[in-house]
Amino acid sequence: MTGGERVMTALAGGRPDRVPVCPILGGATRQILGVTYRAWSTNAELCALALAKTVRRYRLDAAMFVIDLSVECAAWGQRLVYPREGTAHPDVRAQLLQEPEDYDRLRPASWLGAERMNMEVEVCRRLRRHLGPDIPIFPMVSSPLGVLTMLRGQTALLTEVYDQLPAIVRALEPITRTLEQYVHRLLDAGSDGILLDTLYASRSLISKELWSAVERPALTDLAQSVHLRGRQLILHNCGWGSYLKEQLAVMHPQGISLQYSPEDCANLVECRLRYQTVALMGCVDPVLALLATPEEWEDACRVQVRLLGGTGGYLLSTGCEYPPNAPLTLLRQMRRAAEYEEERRGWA
Amino acid sequence: MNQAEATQILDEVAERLREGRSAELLEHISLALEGGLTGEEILQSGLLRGINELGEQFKNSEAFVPEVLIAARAMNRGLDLLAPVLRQSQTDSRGTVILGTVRGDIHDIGKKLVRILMEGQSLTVVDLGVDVPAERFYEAAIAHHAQVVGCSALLTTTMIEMKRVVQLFEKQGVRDKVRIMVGGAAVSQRFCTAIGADCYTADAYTAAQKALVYCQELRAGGNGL
Repeated sequence: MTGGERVMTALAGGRPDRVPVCPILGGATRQILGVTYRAWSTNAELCALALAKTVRRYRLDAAMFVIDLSVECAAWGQRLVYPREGTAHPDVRAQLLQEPEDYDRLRPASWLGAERMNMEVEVCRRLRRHLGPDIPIFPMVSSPLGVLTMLRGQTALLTEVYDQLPAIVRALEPITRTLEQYVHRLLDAGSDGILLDTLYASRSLISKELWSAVERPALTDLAQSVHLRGRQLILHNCGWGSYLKEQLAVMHPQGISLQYSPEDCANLVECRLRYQTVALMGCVDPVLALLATPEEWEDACRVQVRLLGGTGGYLLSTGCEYPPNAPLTLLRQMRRAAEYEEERRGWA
Repeated sequence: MNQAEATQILDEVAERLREGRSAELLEHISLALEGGLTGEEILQSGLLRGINELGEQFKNSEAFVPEVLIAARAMNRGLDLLAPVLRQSQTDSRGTVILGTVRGDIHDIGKKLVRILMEGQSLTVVDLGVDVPAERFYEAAIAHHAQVVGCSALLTTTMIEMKRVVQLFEKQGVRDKVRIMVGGAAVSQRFCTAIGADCYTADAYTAAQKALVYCQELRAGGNGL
């Protein structure tokens, strides 16, 4: 099977010839070109080439990737800091939205000024050229509330979220309209689907009730923009205790990417059994790539495959972005883990 | 004000704080003061009790980040109202903690929650902010005779900096005089052990409780900075 066939089979709930290997790639891939993080995250060709070379060298089954969480907010003029060897982030001394009254000043972003979103679209276009048709491409898109947090500042927004609830909900509207257009452009550029970050739908940050009131309608719309195009939607939630049932009910993804079990499951095995209508992607702790020996890392991956991949509908991945400072060579161990487990299954 | 009335009003101070209702909190504090309760009583049995109860709820996922931030806002307003009265009575700190997000990292919401809940345990917290190099943690610990140094990091690329903090205290020969705590989304017990830190906690309330224990141990042993 090709990587694409494996991934699409798994996302449809089936059991391919082996578990697909799809770590969430990011700044770590800059190592393969020997460029700085800043260069990788601001140059479409370098970014695409680094991702493509990494996928090819380690024979991964998909290019699932995130550039950083500040791609979208730049379109509204949020000033960013680009560390030479670190992730780009908003300049916290210059948040675009300074006061609660600024929520109502937000409008859909202009594509002329959406430099970073246009860059990510170009990355997808070039990645398709580099990889050909057999390797699926899934870029990550931030959630509307995630984008708003980047514009206002997380502490400010979460402190005033109850007082300013109507204004915050109104502010998500222009953001969602812009993200819908972004999704269409990413798909037009050759992406097979979207990884949609839904972190706020978890106990890590806000209550289920608050998430439902604030972001649920916006995410429902955004998910629909992927479905209308007949492409794959994978929800990525690396928070603990994610509100999975509620997300599935309104977004109907083909897959869910997790690091921790959802709030209504004791562990990921129970999650796999309970939510069989949606493919599970994950759930290796990416930090292990910094702490473990290659053998320990491979063992951790094998355990995931063994526990979660037996009946199909599973993709081996990291629970969140593969660490930018972890050696890329460990990606080989991920593939070996999937291959070994498939052989082992054949012996049984 | 009799004992029952005093208990009731302190319960209401704690409840208003947990709910983050600043205006009502200030009203109840005023009523408590008019009824003859001391600033210290209102602080300990009203405000701090309320924030600690909220911390427990946060740990149990019954309260979340916004609830703690809003309660902290209410608490600050309550403390402002009590300040003149509290100056007249001694409020002893139970220990000193140096807190910061390590160099290269600008995430601070977790650190803020930890600070709020540590102050709820009557710990003095010196918050160094974000993007803090190891040297500043050390200098602040020395300057403030701290018992605990708390390092926060959200990113895998920055959590490595925590190791530098540990190594600096070792190099200066004072490693045994402080307890170094680490936390953040990317951090784990395994990482804590690997870098030689003393403690990793997964939530802010447990961090506050642990910091208090460390402060009490070091103060009792007379082996601090």
